[in-house]
Amino acid sequence: MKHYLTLIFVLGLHTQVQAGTEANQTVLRERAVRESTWKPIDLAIPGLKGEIKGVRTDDGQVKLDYLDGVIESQTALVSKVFERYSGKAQYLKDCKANINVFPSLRAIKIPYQLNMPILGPNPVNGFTTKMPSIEFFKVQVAATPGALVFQSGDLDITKLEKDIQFQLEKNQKDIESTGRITLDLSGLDDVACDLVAGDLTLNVQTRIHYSAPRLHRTPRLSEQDVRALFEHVQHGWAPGTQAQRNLVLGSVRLGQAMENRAGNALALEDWEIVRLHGQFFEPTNFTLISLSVADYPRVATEMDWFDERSTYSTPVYHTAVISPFSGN
Amino acid sequence: MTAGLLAACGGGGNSGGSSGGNQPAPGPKPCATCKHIDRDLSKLSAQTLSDIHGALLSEQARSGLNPADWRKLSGWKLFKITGKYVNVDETTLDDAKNARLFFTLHQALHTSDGQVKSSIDTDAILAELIREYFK
Repeated sequence: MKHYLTLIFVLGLHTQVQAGTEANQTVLRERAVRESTWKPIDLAIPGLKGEIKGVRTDDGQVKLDYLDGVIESQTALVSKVFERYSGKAQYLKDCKANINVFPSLRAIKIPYQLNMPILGPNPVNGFTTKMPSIEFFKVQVAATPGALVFQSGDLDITKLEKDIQFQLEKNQKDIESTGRITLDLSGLDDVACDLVAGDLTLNVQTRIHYSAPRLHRTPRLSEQDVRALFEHVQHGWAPGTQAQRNLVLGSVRLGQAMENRAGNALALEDWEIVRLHGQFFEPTNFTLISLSVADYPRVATEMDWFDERSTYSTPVYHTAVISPFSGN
Repeated sequence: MTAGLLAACGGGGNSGGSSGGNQPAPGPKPCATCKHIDRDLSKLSAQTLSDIHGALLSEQARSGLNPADWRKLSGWKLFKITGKYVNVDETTLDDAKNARLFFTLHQALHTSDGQVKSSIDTDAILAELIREYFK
C-alpha cells in the first residue's frame, strides 16, 4: 500500500508540476526573474556520500537546491547509559556470570543524530527546511560467533531484527523530533551484553526525506550562444538617440537573433526575449550594453531556467552502524 | 489602396504627373512610386492593419506580462505579427527607411508606455506611414 501511495504521490506531484508549468506561466516567469539573482553556495553534510547544492536568496536565506546521496555515520553506545551498572567492566563480568542478571535493563538511548547539523562549516543562518521525516527503517543484526545471543540458544536473529524494527517504527515520531533512537531491551539482556561487549552490531538504515525546495537548473544558453546572440544584435544595431526607438528595434533584433540561433526551429518563449533584453540593453535608455567575453558565462547562467521546481522531499539514505561499544 | 492612403498621397503639393494624380504629402516623389513599393509596410491595407492590431491585442493579453516586460517584447511581437501579413523580414529591417516605417507603425499601435492601444484609426495610421515613407 505504501508503494501505491508513493506512486500516487509521485504521479500527483508530476501532474501538479506539469499543470503548474503550463497553466501558470506568469507565476513561473515572475519566480524565475526573482530567483535568477540567487547565488550558488557551497554546502556540506557530514558523512554525505553524494551531492548537495545550495543557493543563497537575495534576503540572505540559504536554501537547499539539490540533495541526493547516502549519509553514513558511526554511532556508538555510550558508557554513561550503563553507569548505574557500575561501569563496563563490572557489567560485562555480570553478563558472563548470569545472562539474566539484569532483566530490567531498558531504554538504551542511542545518540543517533538524525537532526545533526545538516549544513557544513559555512555560515548558514537562515537555512530553512523542515525537520527530516523518516520513510522507513531497516535493521540488520550481526553477531560474532562468541556472542551471548548464540550461547543462549533461543535467539532468532531475524526475529530480533523485526523486533527492533517494530520498536523504531513505533517510536518514529519521537525519533524524528529528538533525533535519538531508544531501544527497549527488556528481556534481551544478552543482546545488551553483546552490544556492550562489541559482539553484536546493529545496523540501522533509514531513508530520510529532507523537505526542501528543489530547484533544478536547465541550461538555456551556452556561452557561445550568448556570444553569437550579442554579436548579432550588435551587428545590426543602429545607435539612436530615441529611447523608444532603441527599445523597439533592439527587441526586434534580439528576437531575430534568438530565432536564428536555432535555425528558426527554436520554440521561442516570451520570457527569453524579455530576460535577455535586460542583459543586452540598458534599462533606462535602452542602448546596447558593451558586453565583454568575460560577461558571456554570467549571462548564460542567469538565463538558466528552473524547469523542475517544487517543495517535495528529497530522499537521503542514512545509515548508522551501532557498534562496537566505546568508552567507559 | 484605401481612401485614407490615397488621401495621404494627395495631401501634399503636386510635383508632377503620376498615376491617379496623387502625390505624397511632403516629399517631391510622385505617388506613382507607391506602385513599386514592395516588401514594406506602406502597402498595408486598412483591413490588414486592423488584423495586426487585433492580433497584437491578443498577444498582449495572452502573454500575462507586466507592462515593463511587455514593453521589451512589444517590438518583436509586432514584427512577427506584421511579418505574417507583409514581407517584413530581417533584410527589410536592415533598411533604414523600412526600420523607420516599422517604428512608425509601432508608435501608431502602442501608447507612450508601450501598451497596445485599445482602438486605432486605420486611415490615420496608413496616412502616417505614407508620409513617413516619402520623407
